Amino acid sequence: MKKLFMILFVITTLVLIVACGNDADTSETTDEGTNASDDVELKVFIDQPRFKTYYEDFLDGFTEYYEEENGITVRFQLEMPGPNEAAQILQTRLSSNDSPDVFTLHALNNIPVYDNAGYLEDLSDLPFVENLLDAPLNAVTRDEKVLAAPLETLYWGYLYNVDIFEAYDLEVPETISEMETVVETLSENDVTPFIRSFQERNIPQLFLPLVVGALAETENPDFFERMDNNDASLKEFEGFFDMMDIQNEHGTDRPFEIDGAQGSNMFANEEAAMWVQGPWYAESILASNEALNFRVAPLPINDNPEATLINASVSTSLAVSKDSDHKEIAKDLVNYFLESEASNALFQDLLFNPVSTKHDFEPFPWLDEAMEYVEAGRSYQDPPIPNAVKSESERVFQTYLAGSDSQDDVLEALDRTWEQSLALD
Amino acid sequence: MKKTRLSSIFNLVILIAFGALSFFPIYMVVINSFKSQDQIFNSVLQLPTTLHFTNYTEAFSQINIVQALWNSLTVTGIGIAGIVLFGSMAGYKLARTPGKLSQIIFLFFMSSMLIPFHSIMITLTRMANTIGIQGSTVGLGIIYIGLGVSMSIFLTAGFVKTIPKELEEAAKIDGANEMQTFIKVIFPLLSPILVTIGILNLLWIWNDFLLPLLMLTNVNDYTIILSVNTLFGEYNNDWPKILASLVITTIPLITAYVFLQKYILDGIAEGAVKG
Amino acid sequence: MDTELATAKTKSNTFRFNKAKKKKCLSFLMFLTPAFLFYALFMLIPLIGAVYYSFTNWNAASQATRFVGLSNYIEAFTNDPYFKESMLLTIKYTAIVVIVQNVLALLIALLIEYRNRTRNLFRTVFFMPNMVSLIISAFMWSFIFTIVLPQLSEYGLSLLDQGWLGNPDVAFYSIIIVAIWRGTGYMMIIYIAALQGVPVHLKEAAIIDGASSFQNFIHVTIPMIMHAITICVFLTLNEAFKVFDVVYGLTGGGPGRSTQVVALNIFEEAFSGNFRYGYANAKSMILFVIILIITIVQVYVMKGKEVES
Repeated sequence: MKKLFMILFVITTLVLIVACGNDADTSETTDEGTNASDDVELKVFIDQPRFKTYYEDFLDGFTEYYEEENGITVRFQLEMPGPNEAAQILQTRLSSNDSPDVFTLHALNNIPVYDNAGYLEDLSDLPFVENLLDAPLNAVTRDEKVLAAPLETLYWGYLYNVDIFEAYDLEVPETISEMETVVETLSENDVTPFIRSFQERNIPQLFLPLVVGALAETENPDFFERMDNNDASLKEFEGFFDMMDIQNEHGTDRPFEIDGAQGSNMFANEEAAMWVQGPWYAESILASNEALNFRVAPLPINDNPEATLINASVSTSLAVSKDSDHKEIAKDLVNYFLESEASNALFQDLLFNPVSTKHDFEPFPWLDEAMEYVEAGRSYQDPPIPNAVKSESERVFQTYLAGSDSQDDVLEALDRTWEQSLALD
Repeated sequence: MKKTRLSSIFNLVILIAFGALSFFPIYMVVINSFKSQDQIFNSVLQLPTTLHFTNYTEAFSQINIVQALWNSLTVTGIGIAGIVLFGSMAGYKLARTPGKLSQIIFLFFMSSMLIPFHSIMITLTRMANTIGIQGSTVGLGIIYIGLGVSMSIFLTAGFVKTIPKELEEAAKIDGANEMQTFIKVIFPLLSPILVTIGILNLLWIWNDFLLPLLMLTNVNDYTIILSVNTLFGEYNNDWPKILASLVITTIPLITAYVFLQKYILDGIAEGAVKG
Repeated sequence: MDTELATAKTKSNTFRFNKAKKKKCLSFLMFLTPAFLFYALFMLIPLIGAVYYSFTNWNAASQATRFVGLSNYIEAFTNDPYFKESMLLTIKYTAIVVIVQNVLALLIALLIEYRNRTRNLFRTVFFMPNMVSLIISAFMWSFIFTIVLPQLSEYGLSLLDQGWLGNPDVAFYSIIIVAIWRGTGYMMIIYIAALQGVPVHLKEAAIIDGASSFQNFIHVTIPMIMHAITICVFLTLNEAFKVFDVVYGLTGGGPGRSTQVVALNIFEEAFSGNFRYGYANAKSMILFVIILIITIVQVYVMKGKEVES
């Protein structure tokens, strides 16, 4: 027993010493900054664990490149939490001054909030900015400063199965009435019109940007301005739930048990003709059925064909922390993500669209049609809905689709969260 | 006599039924962890026809299992060592010092046992960051000492009261100072309750989820529970791999349980009755 | 010079006089300081901080934190329907889990008590789920609920074909099933230990005299194990009120908010949406006070019963 005591005692003392030692270590590296040391550790936070190996290889490539160019060995502490936790983990890090040096954020959703909080480093001087295409450049620019490097650009509405549409001679609907006809024809032929995959909360959430974006673009252009002054309400949008209801009434069974992966599997196996979803599921759809012929089309919201528009958005983007101890290296890394030779391959592996003139590969076939709409001016930029409102909509849309909340309940809850998010600044 | 026999059989049948229900989920997870996705979707109840060890090798390559085990061991080891040592010291002293002050201090420690973790999680995260221990397994272990020491004080104090004072007095006459007396005389006598404390904390710290989630930043520092949580998000319904990783995580504790079950079960009963 | 020496001498005298007391004090400190240090750093200070921040608007978005008085508490009570709903759901959950878990644990403990050779085997099996971490249990059961039970239902057990996790009305009970599956064994161990304290002749009387054995159980056994019942109810009550991991792993509080328990509501207030740390702290203080009151009342009432017997 005496031995046990001594062992315990020694362990605890050692631990305390080690802990203090560690502490000293970290403060040392902080002081050093970027200059003398030739061995640097960068903390990188990327919220796409499904692409883990691709990113790891890419970062290894950077280490090699950087060692050759600058004689500095960069090691990475890569954090890739699961999709459910990513947002809250990043938020905890940022607000407890434990920010990663480089982290992903959603360009349109997060840049305003994080910039106001003073987390984001200005990247305007980096070479990649010169080569960015216009749309992504706009999305990452705020007050004439470029605050992030766009990785993932999205052009989306809903996905439809071209073969099924052709088999029944269906045209892509331009209005909600035409959509109803399509749904009718499909149902008559025993084809389920829609995949319903509501288990993952962020899938029904997609209706929020789709409806608000299209309607604000066409009939309520000053909506966001008035919303910022607490002088508007989501109740202004007539027919907010129309498209959501059509999909919910004509969809596959047991939606709350189907997540995105199962949904894409079902869509790939032609269990339904349409899926309100973005092309970011292309990878897993093709993994289930490589031959599936699908396209992206704009979702009709009402009977005004002008409001049937593609949502153009920039989501995953890389930012550099203002508090980073290795800012220069972090910036070099972000630049490398868009400017290097390896960038081309990475973007193709992850099925991302080109964002820079440096990217010389062809866009993916399922986007052809969507791009035609965009080129014809039939698109809008993903609306600036506060993050908190989006995550609230995940909850309340699920409740609505399960039949427990009324439409008014839903809109009131969203209005309330919007108001609260304004009160924070 | 006949009646007794009948009721005994009835009793046994009920127990077996409950036992089967209790064991069923674990059994299902284990047998299906050796199947392919197709087999799982088509015949989940049958025993596997061919053993797909690839599920395991793939799960192994995804989580660095040795590293994760080591991390869990570090956190749990440091936490338990500190809790047992510091808790027993304080518990002993409080039990042996009569008076208002000790009583107040004792109650002061005790009251914290009712605080829900959610009440302190935000400020605790901030504290860990301020003193620079966030993101390290050692730091996490140290935090557990602070959270678990109260219960240890409580249990030791109760136990010390059953130890006669004469032993310490004899040691004192022999010229030992107080710390020496504690180490040589008291600590061995406390061993039954210390084992109990160790076991209760082992179950808690090893299996804890939320605190490591908030504290550990680097994938390489993840405890085994946290690694599996990440996999669950990553694998997206790739059940064979998920199940294999669930089995891998559960094996260490179940093995410990099989060997130590007498101590564990007695320890729990002990801990509760003393409480 | 002389006077100085003199005062020094008197000082040392008083010092000697207090030496015993001082030494006692010192050893008191030596034994308590380590425990107190860790306790203060990771429990006390964070708690005080949490109380303080519950009166502020601390959040992730703005770096300036303002004192807002009682407004967080007022909001929680008057203008936060989800908090109220989650609280009611947690109370319902707690009531069901505390009752079912204790009744079941006691029943199994009684059955096991009567076994001789197989006692240890059953003890081991029933306790096994406790070795599986809560979050892992939740993952295991997601598999059972989404894959195993639907397939099992094809064998004529159509009752098992439910939206276990997807149907808002059923999901709540799925969570309860997992909680009971995992928690009952722990309570059973405590009850078995308590039952061993009941004299053998009383137990034998219960077996032989079948007709009145239930009466016997109520009037003889229950009072004798009241102590264990108090503890088990205390433990289950505490655990159930703070339930988090299982819900987080099984349903994430969904569909919608249909299974959002209060701990999850607080967690989401702090770490998603508007990241309102201050407000989440206020809600967690309310939870703390409620748990405090309920457990104090429970222990007080049940301790009273123990004395009676």
